[in-house]
Amino acid sequence: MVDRIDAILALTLILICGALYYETTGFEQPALFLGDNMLPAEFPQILLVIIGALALTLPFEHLLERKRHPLIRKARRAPIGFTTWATIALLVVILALAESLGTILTILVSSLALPALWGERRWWLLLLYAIAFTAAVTYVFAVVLRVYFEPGLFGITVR
Amino acid sequence: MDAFLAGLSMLLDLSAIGAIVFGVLIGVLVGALPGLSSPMAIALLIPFTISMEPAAAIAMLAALYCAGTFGGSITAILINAPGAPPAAATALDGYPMAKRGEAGRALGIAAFSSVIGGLIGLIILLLAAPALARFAVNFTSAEYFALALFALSMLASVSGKSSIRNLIAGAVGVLISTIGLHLTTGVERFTFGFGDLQEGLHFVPVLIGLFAIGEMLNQARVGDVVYERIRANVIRLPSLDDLRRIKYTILRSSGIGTFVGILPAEGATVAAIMGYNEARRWSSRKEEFGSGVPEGIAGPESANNAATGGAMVPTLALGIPGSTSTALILGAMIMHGLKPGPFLLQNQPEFLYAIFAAMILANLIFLAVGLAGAKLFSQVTLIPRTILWPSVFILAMIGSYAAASSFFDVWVMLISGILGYFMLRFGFSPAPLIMGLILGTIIEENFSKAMIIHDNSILSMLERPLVLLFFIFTAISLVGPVYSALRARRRDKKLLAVIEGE
Repeated sequence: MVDRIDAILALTLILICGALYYETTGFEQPALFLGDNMLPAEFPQILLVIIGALALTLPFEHLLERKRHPLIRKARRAPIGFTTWATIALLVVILALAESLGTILTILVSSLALPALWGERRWWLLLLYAIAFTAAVTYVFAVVLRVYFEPGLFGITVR
Repeated sequence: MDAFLAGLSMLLDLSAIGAIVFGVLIGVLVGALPGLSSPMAIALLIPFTISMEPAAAIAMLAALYCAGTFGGSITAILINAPGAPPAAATALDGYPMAKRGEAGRALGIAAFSSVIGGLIGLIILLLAAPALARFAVNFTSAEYFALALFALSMLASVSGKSSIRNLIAGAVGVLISTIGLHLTTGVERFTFGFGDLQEGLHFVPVLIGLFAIGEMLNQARVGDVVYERIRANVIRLPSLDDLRRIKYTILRSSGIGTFVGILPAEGATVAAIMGYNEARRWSSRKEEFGSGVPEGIAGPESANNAATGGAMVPTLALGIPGSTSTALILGAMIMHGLKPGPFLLQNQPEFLYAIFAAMILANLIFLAVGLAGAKLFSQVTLIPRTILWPSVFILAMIGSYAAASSFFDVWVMLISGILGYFMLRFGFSPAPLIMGLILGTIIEENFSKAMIIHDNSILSMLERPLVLLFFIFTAISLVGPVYSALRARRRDKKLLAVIEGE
């Protein structure tokens, strides 16, 4: 009757909505002359109630969506591979270091580390790609589009 | 006439034409690459437009949108791997025709049908957008609110794997748009003490994250795919015989495509499927479909490209996007300080003509590119994924950073990407979330105004006939999927009973 994973998903969504609803109760009250307008908390509260109510129907959705629900089941059953988790972790690490490394070094590190993680073992290609791609991206954004590139701790940037 | 000439003159400098050619090439390239999509490319390209003139910037994105829809057909025909969802139906007859040794003929039919479909859609855009804008000029906030709600509900009910999940994603998108300072009172909402959130979430990093990083994480577990590649012989325009066979299919599918495109939903993909089905339904040789018939290529190709012009109609005339890609173009217009909607067309009609001219030019360029460069573009699938996807990440990172030179935005992009990946796994499509995010401000602003005007009474709003009509449409689009699911269930039960009875 109830799809277990969808029930957990629904519960998670409802809990998040509950927490956010609680957050809205702490929004400042506007000055009285602005009070005729909708209060800042009201619109998000309506949305949170709608999301919560829709989430309540999720565990029973499979009873109605007999053709499409198996596709959802198939997608969520597919294992999340090591590469996916490792990619997420690597991206987090790269971004955590980005301000210290500076923009150019961050691009260089990303263009070396990500292909290596994804299984690229032709080191000559990797090196060529990393240097050429970093140079091209830097030229387009820093020189042509004049985007400010953070120099980082090593002071590497384009002026 | 003056406005038309002024619109054309906006694109007459070399940089604007260069931008359109660049948009076409990128569009065909991403269209041809399975995994990369037009919305993703538009999201990644928006940061490149920061320093461009608004007309040239939007022209480039519009050109990419047209060309991306066509690009998918190249790989659909040559390697049976539709580079983009709208080309999936093209593979049904395009690939068998290519396998018979007629790849050049298949590509020619696809390119020709796409261009004619695209041009018909654009003519409708030119006629319908100003008329719709003139009509919409009298809309009050109540009508706008109801219309935006209808747009959101349509996307939720038509696209993806689940209507309920789409609705949730749409509502989450609207909720995300409330982050930051409340427009009328200046009260902080959901900022959690982060100063960077006071302005709200910049939508470019969110778009890039959801489309590019979400898909990249999805691709992380997919191994290299080796496609059986068919050599394209000389690519040529359709012969007179082929033209005779496909002329009505093209006209019919272009009409369907334009109409579907105008409706606020996932235009091109739905249009292509309908274009294919209608081509089959009207054909006297239905049983030959799937074996490589010209109508099977012309139907979906003319429909999906006609949908691009159609989808621009509500985007430009009402400020309500007709598809995910046009939602992104709408976002880019807002970023460039334009306010799409009836007043834009009334005050700056030359802008519509500039977009129209850019899309016409894009169609003609991709006809040339399609005929001359199809062989080359089919080779893009040879780019190793170990190089392709890291490049997407780097462009995503720099693109998110570029708008405000802020690493906070890069974090927003990454978190959106991880969220997008898990959304996809659990059946939530990112498209409604983007639509919600872009329509969120319109919905809240107009809802607040309408509630003040109508003394906080929705019933009073319903006294306006158009509001009532849009609410009825919204109800139909919400109840429609439930009704058809119940009907399918009843039909299955009956069928089972008959089988058991036998």
